[in-house]
Amino acid sequence: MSIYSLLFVGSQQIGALAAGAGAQLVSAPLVVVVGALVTAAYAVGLLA
Amino acid sequence: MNAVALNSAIPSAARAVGPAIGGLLIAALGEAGCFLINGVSYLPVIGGLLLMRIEDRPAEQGAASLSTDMMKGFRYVLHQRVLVGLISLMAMIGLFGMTEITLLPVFARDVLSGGAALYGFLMAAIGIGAVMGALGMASWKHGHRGRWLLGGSLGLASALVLFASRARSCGHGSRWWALGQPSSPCRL
Repeated sequence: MSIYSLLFVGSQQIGALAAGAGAQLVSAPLVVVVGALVTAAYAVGLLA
Repeated sequence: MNAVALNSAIPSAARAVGPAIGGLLIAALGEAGCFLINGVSYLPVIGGLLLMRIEDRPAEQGAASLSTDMMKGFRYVLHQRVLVGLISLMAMIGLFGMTEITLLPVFARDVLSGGAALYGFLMAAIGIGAVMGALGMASWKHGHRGRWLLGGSLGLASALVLFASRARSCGHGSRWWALGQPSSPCRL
């Protein structure tokens, strides 16, 4: 449970930093779309 | 319903109700009044914590250090294929799939031209979805959870793409692939 919390919360914080930086560099919608597609691709590769 | 699902559902339900109340309070009292009420709301929580009586437990003899325990945990997880998959998926979702929460104020104000009420509605929508997901995972059959997890991940990604492309349509139609163009009015 601690490892799950550590990785999940840690990745959220890093993801939030990256999202803010990405939104500054390109645009907020593009950051969300790219993040969603990467997540979907990983989920399909893992679970399909 | 199992304890993990219930543990997930309670903060999710609070996340659904809280922003809606916050939006109404901001509309009625302004940001300062909302922050004041938020601060006062901690007093019952602090009172409840003060009323708790928890007996001290003596430290276990020969207990390992925190770092040793963590390393043991990592080694255990690395040898469990299912756990590696689930935890890595959650890490990927935390890293890439939850960017909309960070950027939601930007969407509410700059992309969708809304205010506190819209931001509250968007946050409440996330909370409602989380409650439904937690309750669903608790009630569905064990044998189908992997499929539901895959479906949920794809559903999350599809919903985010639709949300972002719909939001982006404010300036350039619905061409979401053009989101990063320098002339975009939705840039920060």
